[in-house]
Amino acid sequence: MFEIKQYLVSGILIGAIWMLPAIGISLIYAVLRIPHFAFAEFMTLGAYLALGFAAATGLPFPAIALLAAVSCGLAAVIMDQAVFRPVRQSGVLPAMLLSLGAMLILQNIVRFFWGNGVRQYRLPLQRPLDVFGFNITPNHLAIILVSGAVVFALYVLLKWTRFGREVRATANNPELARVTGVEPERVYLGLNGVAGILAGLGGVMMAVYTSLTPLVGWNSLLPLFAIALLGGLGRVGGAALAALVIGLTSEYSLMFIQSSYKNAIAFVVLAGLLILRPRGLVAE
Amino acid sequence: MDQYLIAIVTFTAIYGMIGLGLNLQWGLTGLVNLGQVAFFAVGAYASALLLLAGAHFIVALAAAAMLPAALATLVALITPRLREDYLAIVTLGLAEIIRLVFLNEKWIAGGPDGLTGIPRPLLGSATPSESAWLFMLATLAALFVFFMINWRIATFPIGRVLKAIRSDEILATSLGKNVLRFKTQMLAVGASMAGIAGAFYASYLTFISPAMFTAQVSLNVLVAVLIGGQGNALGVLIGTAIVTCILEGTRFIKDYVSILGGVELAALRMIIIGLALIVIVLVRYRKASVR
Repeated sequence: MFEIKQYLVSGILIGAIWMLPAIGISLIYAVLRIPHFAFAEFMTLGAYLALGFAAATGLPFPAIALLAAVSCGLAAVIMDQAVFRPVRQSGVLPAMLLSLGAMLILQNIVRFFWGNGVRQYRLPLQRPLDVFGFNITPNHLAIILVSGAVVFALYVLLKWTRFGREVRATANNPELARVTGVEPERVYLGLNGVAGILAGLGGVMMAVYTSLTPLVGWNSLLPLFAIALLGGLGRVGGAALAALVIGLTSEYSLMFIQSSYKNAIAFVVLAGLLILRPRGLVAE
Repeated sequence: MDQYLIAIVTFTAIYGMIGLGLNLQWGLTGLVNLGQVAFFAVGAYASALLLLAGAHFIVALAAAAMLPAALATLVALITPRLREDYLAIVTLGLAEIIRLVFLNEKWIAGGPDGLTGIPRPLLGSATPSESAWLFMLATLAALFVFFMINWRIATFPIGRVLKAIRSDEILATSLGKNVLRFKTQMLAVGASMAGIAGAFYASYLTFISPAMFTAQVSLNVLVAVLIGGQGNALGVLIGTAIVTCILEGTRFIKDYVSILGGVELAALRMIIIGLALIVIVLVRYRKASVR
């Protein structure tokens, strides 16, 4: 009984962490039409930047997390402008290959500066709180609440602002969006920034929940794409829900399989989706 | 011949086999397989397990060719119309799952420690250095066969069909070509080549472990094919040689830049591969029209 309750907490927690980068990947996939693998590695970069900022400054941890996330957003924008913009009109393949290259570079920049070892943030040890009979530490509760707030803010951003309308218009029909006065490059710029921030923040959260290794992003890659596809590309709400579904499924699967197979669950979901809904994955 | 050089040539030839397999899939058919390491790993493990069980090397090779082909067919089945972005995600994911299986299933694959004491053919009948030399020749012979297959497929009628599929899939379909079947076949044949490369790899090293079969292998091979120009078998071999030079050559930087430790150097090597990938793609596809 205790296990069943704790899996609920950890499932929601991991889902709350995954949903941020997954939403970024989903939006990029919907608008730019590429599976952008590099954004998983912005998680790694964000996590380690936070470690670096924490060592260099005496700021409180939330400020450091924010700083790391914004840095990732900036890095994503610069990367997009320098590397991806020149192949904008060249179809899916070049951008996909570039994304692999970027993934490799980001992960190994982290290895270069911080090594392969496992690290931890210096956060005070916490006693679990009792929330409605569930045990959860204040940090983990904060992750869930912050993630929920960010997703809500994103939902509002996409639904009610001019930028949001432009993003949705470009996702639905790029040509039509262009003729109605949407500047696609501005949409791409904003979107890369948002996705970078989301990935960076998700990376810090993942490192708080587990630990820092150069594989933080790589180990999230399959769940992130499974979530983005399951939620429907370009859909914030769908991705958030899908993140919870995959998070809970992965955690409860631990009752039957070894923890090292968690990623396999995401892959099974992904493969199942592609078989069952080969056409229906793109936002309608 | 210097032992180090023999080792380099053998490894390059093995990488070249994986690359020629990817060349069939990507270069000639347009299938972007990002998980070539999965087929390489399955071939290596299948052959190693059979050899350890006392099977003949030919039997091991056959298994190393057939199992990856079966796996490739499975990939084709779960990837709708083998669309390039879906195929990329599925192959990348599959490779990771395959690695997880070898990492976790101690009873079959030895877990993280892998398999050791894999027999190398010709090892008993010769001195170690002669055996390395003979094995290099055998590897080069296999590479040559793969090269001929690549060349034949490119120039024979099937090559024209593949070219048609690559440039206009709908047109090829309307000409009565079963596009999906051709694509699946090429994915399978390319996977077999990687599998056979795996068999050579396992026997050459005489031990294998899951750590050797990370996505890095797929990316190295991808860069090799990209350097060579997709579809150009000779170019793929040159690309493989260049990638090997990057991977091996950076080992010598250590002698000059002593502040870099092993971890930094390994990271630097991968950063160079990543940069090479980006530069080549930018040079080749910048402002190009939609393919």
